[in-house]
Amino acid sequence: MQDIAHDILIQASKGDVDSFELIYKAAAGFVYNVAFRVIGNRQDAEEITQEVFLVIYHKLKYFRFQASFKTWIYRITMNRAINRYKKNLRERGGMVEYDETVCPVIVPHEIENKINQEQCEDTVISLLKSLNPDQKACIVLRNIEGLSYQEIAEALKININTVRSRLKRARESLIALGKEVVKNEL
Amino acid sequence: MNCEKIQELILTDYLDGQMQGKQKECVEQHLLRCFRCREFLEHARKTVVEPFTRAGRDIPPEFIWARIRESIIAEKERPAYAVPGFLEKLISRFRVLSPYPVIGTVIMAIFIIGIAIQFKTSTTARVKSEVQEQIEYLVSVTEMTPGNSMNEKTGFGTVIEEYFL
Ligand SMILES: [Zn+2]
Repeated sequence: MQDIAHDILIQASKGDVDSFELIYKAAAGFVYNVAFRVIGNRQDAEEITQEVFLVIYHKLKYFRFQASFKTWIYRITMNRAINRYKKNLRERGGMVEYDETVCPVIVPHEIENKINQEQCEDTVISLLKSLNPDQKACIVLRNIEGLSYQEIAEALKININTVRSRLKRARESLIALGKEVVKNEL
Repeated sequence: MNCEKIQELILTDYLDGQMQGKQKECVEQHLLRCFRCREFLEHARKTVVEPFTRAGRDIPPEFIWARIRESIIAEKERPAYAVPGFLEKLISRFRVLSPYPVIGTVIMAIFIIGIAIQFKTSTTARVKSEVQEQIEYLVSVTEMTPGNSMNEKTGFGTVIEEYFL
């Protein structure tokens, strides 16, 4: 997520919509992509993004500027995204549908063609699908968004050792899943 | 350190580059000597790190900002004395439901009930708004001080907080 200048936050907290748009531009990519990876579909990710920014707009006046604005956004986003995912899970009897058809717009350099891109995307989706929401949140923040352990701990309001143990368990199960896939292919 | 402990560290701090100094040295020394752990590291990189570094990113669709902006501006322009949406609906429903013969009775009933509960509601309303203020304060404190919660072991905190997040 891009850094946001202090005076922009101040202006936005007074209700200035143009300043708030700058905040949106700096943070929307993070909010949207994290929500999409945690929940698994774009429509929910769009709704969560809208909700998160309306919450930020309304609560900005209460925001204490010595605290990290980024952490605050991380928290609101994770809380909403995980809750939406759990709600979908409850409502659909443990089965959640994932968007698997559309490929993301921005693709890392090393992927040259569309087939490769689709394969990579399939792999990411099936790996994330296999994790529980708490593990998935840690993996998304660490491996896709590149947050440090400390930042993840603050975003999820958990102890840093809980971050470690969730990542460890998530990765153990991803490794086991990999072995399972190889075994089935043989 | 034995292989089990080393592999545990590989799966977390070592793979994530969160390790420094002596501990990192210790893991690397072990890796030099132990083929099994080297293999484990290689495999872990391929299965739990690399797939995600190739994950793509989406640009949020433009209509999201348009909707947010619209909702903010609509809110700013809404006059302070406006009737809240649900009250408006309630009133219009009553208009539909009340044919002439019933009106008198309904008005009388509302009038009597209204007087009966007036005292009670005025008190509860005051209490409610105080509670609301307190909750808002609590939320502004808990949500906005990332440092304070670091000792907590729990997930998403209280019900109140979840409501406001
Ligand atoms: Zn070893």
